[in-house]
Amino acid sequence: MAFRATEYERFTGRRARRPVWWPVCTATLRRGWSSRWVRLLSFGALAVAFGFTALFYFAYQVMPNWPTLLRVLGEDEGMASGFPVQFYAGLLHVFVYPILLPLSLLFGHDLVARDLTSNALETYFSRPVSPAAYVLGRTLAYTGFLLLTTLGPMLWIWAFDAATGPQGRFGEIAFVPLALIQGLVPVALVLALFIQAVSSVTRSGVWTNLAVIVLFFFGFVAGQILYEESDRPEVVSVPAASGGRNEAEPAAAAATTPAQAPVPAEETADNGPEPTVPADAPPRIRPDRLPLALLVGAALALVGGDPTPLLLAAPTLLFSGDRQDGRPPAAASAAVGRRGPPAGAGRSADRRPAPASPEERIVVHHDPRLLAVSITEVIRGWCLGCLDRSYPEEVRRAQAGRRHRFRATEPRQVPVDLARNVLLGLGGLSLLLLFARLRRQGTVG
Amino acid sequence: MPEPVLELDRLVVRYGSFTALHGLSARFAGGALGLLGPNGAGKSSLLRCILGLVRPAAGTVRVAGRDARRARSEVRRRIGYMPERDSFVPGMSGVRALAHLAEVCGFRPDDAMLRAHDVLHFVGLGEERYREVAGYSVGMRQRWKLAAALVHDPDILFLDEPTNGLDPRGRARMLTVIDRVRREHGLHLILASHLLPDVERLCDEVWVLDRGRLKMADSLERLTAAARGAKRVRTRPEAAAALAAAARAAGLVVADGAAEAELVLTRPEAEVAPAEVFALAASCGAPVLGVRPAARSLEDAFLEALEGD
Repeated sequence: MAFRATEYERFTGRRARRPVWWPVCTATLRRGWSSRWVRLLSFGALAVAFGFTALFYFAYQVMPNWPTLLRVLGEDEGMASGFPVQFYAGLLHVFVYPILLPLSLLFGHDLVARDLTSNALETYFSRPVSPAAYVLGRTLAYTGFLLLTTLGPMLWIWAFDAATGPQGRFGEIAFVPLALIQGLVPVALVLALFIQAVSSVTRSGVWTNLAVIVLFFFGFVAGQILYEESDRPEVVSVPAASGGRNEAEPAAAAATTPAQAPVPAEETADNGPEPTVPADAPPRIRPDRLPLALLVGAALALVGGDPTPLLLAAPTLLFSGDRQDGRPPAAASAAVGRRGPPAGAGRSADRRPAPASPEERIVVHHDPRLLAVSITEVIRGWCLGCLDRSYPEEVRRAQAGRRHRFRATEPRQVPVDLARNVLLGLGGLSLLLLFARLRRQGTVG
Repeated sequence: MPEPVLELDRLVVRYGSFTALHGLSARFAGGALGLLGPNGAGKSSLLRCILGLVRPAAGTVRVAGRDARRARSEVRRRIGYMPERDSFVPGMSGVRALAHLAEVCGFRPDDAMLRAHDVLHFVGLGEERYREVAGYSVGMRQRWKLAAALVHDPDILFLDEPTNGLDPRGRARMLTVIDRVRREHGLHLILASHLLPDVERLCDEVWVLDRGRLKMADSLERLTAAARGAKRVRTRPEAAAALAAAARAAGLVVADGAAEAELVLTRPEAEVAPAEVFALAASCGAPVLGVRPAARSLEDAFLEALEGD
């Protein structure tokens, strides 16, 4: 080798014109790939993809019309076998829970933490790397890797399905790639930002792992508990005696397309006695305010340089109702005087004021919006919602005569609009937190 | 006339309510500048402010004629910074981490790797280049940090306590390497240190900082020139006042020495000859018990500057 320069020499070559975040991005990929578990899980994802394609291949070889057969069999069995949308919904579950979530932790749990403990930020920021370029490089690599190991295999399966399927198969599943991209790109991005933000706070890979796992686990448990509890009259608030406006009627909410129309009660709500609530019940929880609560809390925390406002402001906003202006909480008023599914997302098509009478009784149902306290439920709600929303209208109409509607979403699921808001809030908060930590650690020292 | 390497204009740096630099104004034309000062004087804050790591509350910093805030990327590309504390990219070998830092500064990957090898050889880490930086000893990390400051071929070197934690041999080697880079390749050097011998060896200009204020800014030559020809004169206690008066009358600067009845006689920019001392003593009838060179060092100048308050 020619590395015998004991003399210092000035550099006379040409410099590259690449953006400064590019080397950060490639170094991040190398660092992530150096983890054995990341490699194993990535190969696992590829193996799943190849397994599915092999399954498709042999199924088409043996029985070319097996998708049709499966659909008919499913309907006969009374299943809402909305194939292919439900196949890809299932595929999302396979790639999101066992692969995307663990991989996001394994890849990024110590990315920022190790940079903080080794003072690498000072090294970076004394060079032409700005905090924005640093975050961009790290996050692009992180998100890109997550998508490569989840979206990539899923698209591979889709491509194989489309290429080898019978006549008309492509038309049925042409919407899938866009839906998968819409669903997974924001999720991977938010996960990357969130885990980096947690890592910047804990300054330790182990503590980041623990914190995120605990957050996911307790969020999930809390979501389920809140969801179940929302069926109890003493938990859900009531409208004012004067009656309320039917502002945010839930399931009617999504009624912009036939497939998103309110699900019949027998399909959605838990069947059982319908409880009623007294008029002086406490304010209800407002999970749709979660992004706002987190952002306000983060802004206060940033201004004050102390996380306490975040801890105080978020729950305060989250639990406050619409009582100040004398209006009833939206969801509760939505349920006034009518029987049907409770919470959904978006705006109501029916804005008629609810009847007001002293004897007014309220029908209370489980509120799926409460599941939004769980990140895993939010991810599920968003991904499946995207898949469902992308389902082309003509395919829906063609299937309209069937006994079961073809939907990826389920009643017990965070509404897609709320899931989007939570993801936006979480991503924004993570970004703010990350920048605040980088600025503090990388520059003040 | 070339642009000065560093120009500060009423620079103020604050950390919350604490003011680290109070309206610093100074100019460094080029060469080697030593930033001296006790702990907490503001040396590191000044370096970090020049690099844009700390935002000034007021004032401006110009590096090679460029505003350090507006042309931050360009300024940083021209500066090689060696921080005081341990600072490295984790999870990489010494050479890989160095190549990565060169790439960040705009080197192509191949050039970056070649240069990383070269610079590691130059600082004496050639044999250790494939080890992870986290596993290096203190001395090796100091050398790696110097290599990291040099790898992107800067024009100006900012070294913050480069000999911290080094044994005497390592320190001598580090100073030699820095001196060679400076003299043989024309790099400008700004050295922050509280080790006066390091500054004396490497620098030709000195700024003394204390509690965020510039106490002294002068060339090392001028600071020690007066002291080089000074003489320490011992006489009897009862004759000391007369000798001091005679010396002042002759245009000499008189200071008290360390011992009783000892005077330090100095003439700015010229040597005080022994014969002149004896003539003065004879003129006032003071007996001369001893005459020796005063040998005032940078340390004396430094302490004088700090005690100036």
